[in-house]
Amino acid sequence: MLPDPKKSRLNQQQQARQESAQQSQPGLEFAGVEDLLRHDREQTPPPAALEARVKQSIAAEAPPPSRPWWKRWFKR
Amino acid sequence: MAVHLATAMGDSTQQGLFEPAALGQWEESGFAAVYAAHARAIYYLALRLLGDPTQAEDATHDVFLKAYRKFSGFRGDSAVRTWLYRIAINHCRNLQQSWSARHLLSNADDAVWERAASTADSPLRVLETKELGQRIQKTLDALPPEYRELLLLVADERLSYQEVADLTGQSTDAVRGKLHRARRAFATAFATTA
Repeated sequence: MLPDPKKSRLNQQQQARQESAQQSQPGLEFAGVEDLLRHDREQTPPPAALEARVKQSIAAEAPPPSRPWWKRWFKR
Repeated sequence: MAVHLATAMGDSTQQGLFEPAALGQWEESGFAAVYAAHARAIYYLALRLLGDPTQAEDATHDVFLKAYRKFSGFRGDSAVRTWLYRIAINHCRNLQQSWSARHLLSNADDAVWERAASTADSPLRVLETKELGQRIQKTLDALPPEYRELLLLVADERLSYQEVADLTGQSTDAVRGKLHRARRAFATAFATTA
């Protein structure tokens, strides 16, 4: 049985359109190295768990004294 | 006071108005705002300097912890981002020195890059973006450390040439000259990773 010529043409057109779309994807172009690195930075977020880790470590820190103990002593 | 700290941590303000010793808590101290504003930049610098996500995560953690501990010593002479970069660069340099001492890593002779033929001003075309990060890492790894640092710092649009010069311990003229060679070296190395 021969394929329906209308359907076949439609399929061919769709296929051609997909192929041309794939071929015409330009990729990316950057004006210079810095632009490329900026793009890369935007694509590179820090790990989500890092914030919690920093937060936990800071919570465990004793608040540092604003002045050395001996300065506070002599100020009395 | 938390408001003062959060304001001081922004890039535009260069005054050190914070007193974390009296606060200590993540949100109350405003350190959450510091982290939110600068974590991406610091992590990215550490990642591309060290070339390893796990090491970069550890380094970023250590940098922010050091920054927290040094709050009282921060005089506000520079922007917070510059101050954090300084801590991060020193931290990464120390790590790299201990690694290179153990593994005797060496980069290609600088003279190779001096002779690099690529035109640094021509645009960089990337057809495949899927593994772009790996290509960039491979390219940066091939460069002398000085060029790597310079490119990563200059890529941060918030830093002036003067700040980059201060961070890398050289004059702005030297930064401009080396930057031109660094761009050329990067473009040459990047083309070979395609």
